[in-house]
Amino acid sequence: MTSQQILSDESLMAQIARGQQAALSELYDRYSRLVFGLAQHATGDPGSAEEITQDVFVRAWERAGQYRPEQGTVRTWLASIARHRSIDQLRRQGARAEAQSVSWDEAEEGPSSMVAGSNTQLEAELAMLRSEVRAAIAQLPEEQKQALALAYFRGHTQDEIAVALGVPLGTVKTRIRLAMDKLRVALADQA
Amino acid sequence: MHVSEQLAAYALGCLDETEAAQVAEHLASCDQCQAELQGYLEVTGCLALAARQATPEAWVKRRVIQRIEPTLRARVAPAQPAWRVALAGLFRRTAPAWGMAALALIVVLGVGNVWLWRQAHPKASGGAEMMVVAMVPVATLPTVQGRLVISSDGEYGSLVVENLPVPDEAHVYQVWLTEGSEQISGGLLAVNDHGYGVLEILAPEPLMSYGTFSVTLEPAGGSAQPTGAVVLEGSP
Repeated sequence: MTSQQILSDESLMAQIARGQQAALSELYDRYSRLVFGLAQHATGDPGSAEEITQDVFVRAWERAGQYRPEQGTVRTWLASIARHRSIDQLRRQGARAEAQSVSWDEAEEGPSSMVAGSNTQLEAELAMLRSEVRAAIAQLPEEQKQALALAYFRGHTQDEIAVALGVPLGTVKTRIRLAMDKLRVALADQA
Repeated sequence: MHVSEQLAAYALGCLDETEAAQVAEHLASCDQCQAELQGYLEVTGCLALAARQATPEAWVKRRVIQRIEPTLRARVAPAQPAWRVALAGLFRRTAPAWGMAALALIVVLGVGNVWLWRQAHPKASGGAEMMVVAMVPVATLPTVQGRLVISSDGEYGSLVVENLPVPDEAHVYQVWLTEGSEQISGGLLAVNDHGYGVLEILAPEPLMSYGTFSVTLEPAGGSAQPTGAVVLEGSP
């Protein structure tokens, strides 16, 4: 199989919008590990992550026709749904009191186990990008990483982060902005 | 603080509602900030990759497929190409003379469906022959025809049926895969107004490993185990 024969994510979305169940199956094979991993990291609960993973791909099925490539990649679209669904779940469970426990996972991953239907080239590209993202985050000062994690994984506002960390609001705003600026430079052209 | 200094937090979604509304209002009239925001949004989109990837249990995917199946009827039935519907009508009108041709067409359509599936599944191997399983109708439905086409590696299959009576709104056809005493659902089979339907079969094991494939009429939404009478059945 050559790379020319691999359906793009956007083509899969177009097929899903036309009701092609097989295309959804392929999309799941490509991104279920990303979605499940994100949900599990954000909620800390495999059971919740399984429910969220289902919801993300069912929503992809239901809303494929609304997806617009110019607004972002399919990967970021799925990740955004998973992130917001995870934050909703945390709010329902009242788990925000545990906000300070969240952090960035900087451990290197071993080779991923491929799932049926997934694609080696796509998986390799994703692994490379993942490595670059982790390296960029690892370069941030600890206090910036902490503020960023509370915002991204917990959905906290800057006010809530200031309370959780016991620092002035202005300090949190500065940490968030500096962290995002550094990541934007480090990840330029990688998204 | 100038709005531009809040764009990073806006992209992360960590502004309070009032601040977010102010930024949104500014963005509506500022191309420069819109461009700057795009960079921050791309960063936010990458952050998901920092979480450790993990493989969900196999049942999660099966559950996703089960959850979307009730919508398949609505999507698939109206989407039948006009030529396919017209051909189905032709075969119904001339069934005795064209019976063998209709069967051949069903097989071709099934093979085409498996081919499309394999386009979306690059790992599927080529080379060996695909298998066609004849699905035999019950005696009360003699005009029903069905073929299950299985890819050469046994991973993918497509069931094509014709002349199945259209079920009422309270019922749906469901495909079953039987291995020993265990029966698992292969999915819900929607048919259009002409009794024509196609279903890509999903199964945790290669399709070759199942002894019998059957279709039953079940309550809308499907059943965990077959409860209705078998209308079609076949074995590899």
